[in-house]
Amino acid sequence: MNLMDFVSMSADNAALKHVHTRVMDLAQLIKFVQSPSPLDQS
Amino acid sequence: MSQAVAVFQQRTGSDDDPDHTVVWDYHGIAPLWRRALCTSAMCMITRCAVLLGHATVILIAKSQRSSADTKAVAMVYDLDTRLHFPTEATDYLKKTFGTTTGQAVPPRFAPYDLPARRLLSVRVVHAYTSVYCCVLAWLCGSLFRVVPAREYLAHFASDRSHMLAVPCDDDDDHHDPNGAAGTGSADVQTPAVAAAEQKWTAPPPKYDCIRTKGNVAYGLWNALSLSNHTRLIAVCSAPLPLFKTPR
Repeated sequence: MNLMDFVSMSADNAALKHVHTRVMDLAQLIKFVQSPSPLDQS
Repeated sequence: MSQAVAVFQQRTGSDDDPDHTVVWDYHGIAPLWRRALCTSAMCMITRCAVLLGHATVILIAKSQRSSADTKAVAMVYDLDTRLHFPTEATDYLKKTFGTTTGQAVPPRFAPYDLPARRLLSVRVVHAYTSVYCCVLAWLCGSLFRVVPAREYLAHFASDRSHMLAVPCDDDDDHHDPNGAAGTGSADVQTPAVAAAEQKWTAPPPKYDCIRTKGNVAYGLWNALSLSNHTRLIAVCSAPLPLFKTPR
């Protein structure tokens, strides 16, 4: 998977279907960096 | 949607622009959640910047964040910012990508910075700026895709084809500065797609292309589409050694 697959916002991007990702706006991102992330839990 | 996104307070931004705005297709930073800076963290920062070439990808790397660090303040290291180095993450995000409203507008358009505040009531200014910010956010707001570190490191690959100049028949300048394309030189690794006559827009890094464990390399821009409207955020909790290129 290349960089543009990660960057792509396309919902039908096949390359992203097997990757857990979350799309955020800036406000959500700020909250994210201020709190522990569920994505970061191992 | 546009692939271009505005990044504020950048060194490469014009001095005539109070926001020092630069429009990138992507941008690279390294955040750190640890309280104290350590050698490995600095290595990681350097590695991120070099790894991604010219610090143009946003790479949020949660470096080995542990439960003891959950209350630590995240600091962002951006080699291109005019803000402090490092800057606290929340402050950095607001000043670099938007305002306290969370919308992607230049900081100087924040409600209390408007010159009209002197003439209008605060309520009117808020109403004005709210509409203004909504329009701007709709027009040029950015989205962020957060990717778990393990999956990012497992799936990301680049053949550096995005660094190749657009072919031009009568332009013989800017040949591969290493002159070793396709030679298999030990010091200079070339993208899989690069041919001997291809030209670089900038000298490529001397380390190997990033490949997945399956030794797969993709063209960086191959999957480019007009629906792209985000900067890349990779949330990395993996240790530094995972950044090394599989051989």
